[in-house]
Amino acid sequence: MTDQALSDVKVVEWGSFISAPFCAKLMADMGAEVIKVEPPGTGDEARRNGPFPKDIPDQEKSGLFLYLNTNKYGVTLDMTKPAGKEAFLKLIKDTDIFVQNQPYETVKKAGLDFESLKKINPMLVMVSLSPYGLTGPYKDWKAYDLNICALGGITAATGYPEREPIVPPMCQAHFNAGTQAALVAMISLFNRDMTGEGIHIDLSEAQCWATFHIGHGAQAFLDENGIRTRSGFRVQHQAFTDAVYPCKDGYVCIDTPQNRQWKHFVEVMGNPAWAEDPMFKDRIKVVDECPEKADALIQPWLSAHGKEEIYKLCQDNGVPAAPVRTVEDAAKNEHLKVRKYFVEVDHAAAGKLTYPGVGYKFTESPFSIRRAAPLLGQHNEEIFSKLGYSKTELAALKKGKVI
Amino acid sequence: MANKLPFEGIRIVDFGWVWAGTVLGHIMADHGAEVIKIESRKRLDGLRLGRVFELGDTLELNPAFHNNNRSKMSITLDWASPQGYEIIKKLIQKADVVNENFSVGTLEKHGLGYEDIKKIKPDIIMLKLAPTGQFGPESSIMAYAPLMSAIAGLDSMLGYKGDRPLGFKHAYGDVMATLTGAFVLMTALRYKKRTGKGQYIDLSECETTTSLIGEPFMDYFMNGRVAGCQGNDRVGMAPHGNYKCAGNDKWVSIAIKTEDEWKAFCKAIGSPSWTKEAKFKTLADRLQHLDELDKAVTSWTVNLGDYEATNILQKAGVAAAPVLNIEGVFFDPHFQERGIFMNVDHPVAGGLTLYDLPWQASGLGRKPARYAPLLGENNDYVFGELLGMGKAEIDKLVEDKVIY
Repeated sequence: MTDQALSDVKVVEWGSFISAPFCAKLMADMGAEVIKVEPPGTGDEARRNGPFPKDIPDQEKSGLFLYLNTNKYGVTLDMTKPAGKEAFLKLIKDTDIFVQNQPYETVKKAGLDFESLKKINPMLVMVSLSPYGLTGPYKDWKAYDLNICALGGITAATGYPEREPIVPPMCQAHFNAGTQAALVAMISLFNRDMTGEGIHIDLSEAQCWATFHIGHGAQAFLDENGIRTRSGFRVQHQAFTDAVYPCKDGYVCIDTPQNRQWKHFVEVMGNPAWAEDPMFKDRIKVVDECPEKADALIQPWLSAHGKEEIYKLCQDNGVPAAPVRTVEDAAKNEHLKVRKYFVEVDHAAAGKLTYPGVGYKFTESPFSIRRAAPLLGQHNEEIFSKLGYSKTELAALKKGKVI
Repeated sequence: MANKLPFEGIRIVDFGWVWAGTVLGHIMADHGAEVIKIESRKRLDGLRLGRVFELGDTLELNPAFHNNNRSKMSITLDWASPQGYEIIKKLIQKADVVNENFSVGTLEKHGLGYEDIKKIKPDIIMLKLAPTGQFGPESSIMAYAPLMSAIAGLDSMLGYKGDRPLGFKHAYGDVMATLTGAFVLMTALRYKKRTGKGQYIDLSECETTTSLIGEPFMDYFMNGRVAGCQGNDRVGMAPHGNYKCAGNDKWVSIAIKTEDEWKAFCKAIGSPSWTKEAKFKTLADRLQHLDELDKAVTSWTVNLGDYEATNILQKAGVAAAPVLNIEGVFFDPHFQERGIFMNVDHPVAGGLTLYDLPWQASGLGRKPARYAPLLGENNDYVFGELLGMGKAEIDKLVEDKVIY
C-alpha cells in the first residue's frame, strides 16, 4: 500500500448529508483511516438524495453518497442505546479526529459532547460543523444550504437587480464548510501534537462564507458604503468587459481588466471600426453607464464563434476568456483526461462508474482510490472485532438494533 | 507547558500573489509560521494596485490586500536579476515551503523550478497553484476567478431556471483553491514530519472547483443528464427560494423539505386559504406548481421585514433566514456576538476592519493578527538577520535595485 500524507491519522465521522462527510472525504482521500458511523437502517441522509441510476431510489446507489464517501470504512451504530454508546466510546479512544455535523443538542444528549469524549481521549481533535455555530442567538435555528448562503452573504449579489437573488448551485455552503473543516482539523492536529491537548472546533457554515468569501468587503463598506448589488451576467464597476455572454454554441466568460488585454481582444475580433469609439477609453465608465451599448458591439463576433474556438483564439492572443463548460463538456475535456482528473470506481452495488477526482497532484504521497463508498454497515464486523467484540456479542448488538 | 503555536518553526517563501496564492499564507502565518512574502517594485502584487476597490493611489490601501496578507512579512527583491537569484536561493535553503501561483513556467524560466530548488534544499515542499494545473493542453491559460468557475462547470448551473448562466459573482474559484491549497500543504507538512520527505504539489484551481460539484457529475455519468441553470430550486424541496420582503431589496430565504415542515409553515403564516388548495397538498404537487407556489409565499412575505418573517418561521421550526449583503452581515446580531471581524491598526491606512478566521476554539494556538506588511517592511530582518548580510552590502543592493 502506498504511504499517503495522512496514512497515520485516524478519523471518525458522524456525518449527515454533505458538510462533515466532505470534510472526512478530503482526509480519507489523503490516506487517513476514516470510519463513518451511520444510524442503523436509514443511514446517512445523502443516501436518500439522488442522483440514482435511472432515477430509481436505492440507498446503496445515491451518486452524491458514493462521491462523498470514497475511501471510508462504514459502520452502523445507534449511539442513543447504551450498548451503542459504549461501542462508540471504544472507537473514539484511539481516534485522532472526530468530525460531526449533528445538532449539538443531539450530541450532548447522547453524552458524546467534547467534555465527555475528552475524558476517554484527552488528545482528541473534535470538529463540530453547524449552520450557524454552537453559540450566539441563532445557534438553534433550523437551516438548509439555501439559508446558510443567505445569511452568510454569498447569495445577495447574484441575479438580476429586479429579480430575486439566487443561491450558488449544488449546496456550495456545505462543500465550502467541509473544506474549511478539513483545514482547521489539520491545524488542530498540529496544535495537539505541539501541546498534547485535545481541542474542540466550533465551525459555523454561515461564518465560512462571511469571512473568507465576502469579509474583505467590510472595510470598503465602512469606508465608502461600497456594497455589491446584483448585476446579472456582468460584474459591476469593472473594466468592460467582465461578463458571461452567449456565443454560437453556448456561453463564454470574458474578463479583460487590463488595457492590453482589451486591445488584444479587439485584435482577435478583427479590429472592428467601432472599437475606435472614444467611450472605450474609460471602460469602467462603459460598464457603469452604457453596458448594453457595448455588449451589442461585441455580440455579433461572439455569436459567430463557438465557445472552445473563442477560448483558443483569445487565450492564444493574451485575452483572458473561457468557455462556460457544462458538466458534459468537462467530462469529455481532453485536458482533464491528460491530467487523469476523473477516476473510475467499482462499487459493489452501483457498479463501475466515473467520479470526479481531486484537484491536486502530489509526487510523494499521491491521491488514490483505495475503496469505494461503504455499503450500509459494510465494515461492522471488521471494525468492531478489532475493538474486541466477539461474534456472539456482535450478533446480540445486531439483534438489539444497535448496529 | 509552553504555549507553542501549531506551525511554529515553519518558514515559507511565499511568491503567492493576488488571491489564490495569498490567503493560504496568512492562514499559516496566523498559526505561527514565518511567511515571507517575496515582492518587488518591478512586479507588484496586483492587489497592492487596488484592482478591486480603488481607495487611493498608494500601495498600502487596498482592503483585499490587507485581508489576504495579514501577519506575513514582506521583502522586496528582484529575484529575476542575477544577484537577486543568488539571494533567493539562500533564502529558500532556510525554508520549508515554497508557494507560488505565477503563470505556469515562470519560476522554471528563472531557474527556480522544483528540480532546481530540490538541489539546494532536498526536503523542500513546493506548492504550485495554477488555473488549470502545471501540465496538460490547457495549462498555459491565463485566468481570473470568473473564468475558473466557468471552466470548472459550476457557472453553467448558476442562473435562473431556463435563463442564461450568470457566472459566480465572488472569487469562488480563487478562494476555494487557496483554502484547499492550505489543507493540502498541511498534509504535506505532516508527511514531511513523519518521513522527512518534501514534495511537489500541482494544484489546479479549476479542478478544485469541479470537485465541489460532484452531484451533477455523478448524474451525468449515471444517467447522461446535463444539469442546466438551477435558479433557487433544489431537488425534493418546495417551497425553496428567496422571497421578497418589505423594504428596499430585502429578501427572506425559506426552505422546506418534510411534510412536518410544510404543515408548520402553513400554520405559522396563519393558514391562508391557498395553503389548502389541492395543487399544494403534497411535495409532488408543490413541485409541479412551483411558480404559483412562489407567488403565494411572496404574498405572505412581502408585507413583512426580512428578520420579522424569519423569526415567525424559526419559532415554528421552519428553516428561514434573511438574505444579507455585507452591510447586513456586518450589523447582524448573531455575527456580532460571535465576532467575525477584527480591528487591526495599520501604519498607513489607520484602523482596519478585517475578517477574522471563521473557526472558534479555545486552546487553538494563534498569533494576534498583525497588519499586512508594508512593501519591503522586513528587508532588514530577512537580509540582515536571517541571511547575515552587512549593512554596506544591503545598501549596495538597494542602490543597484536588487533589493527593490
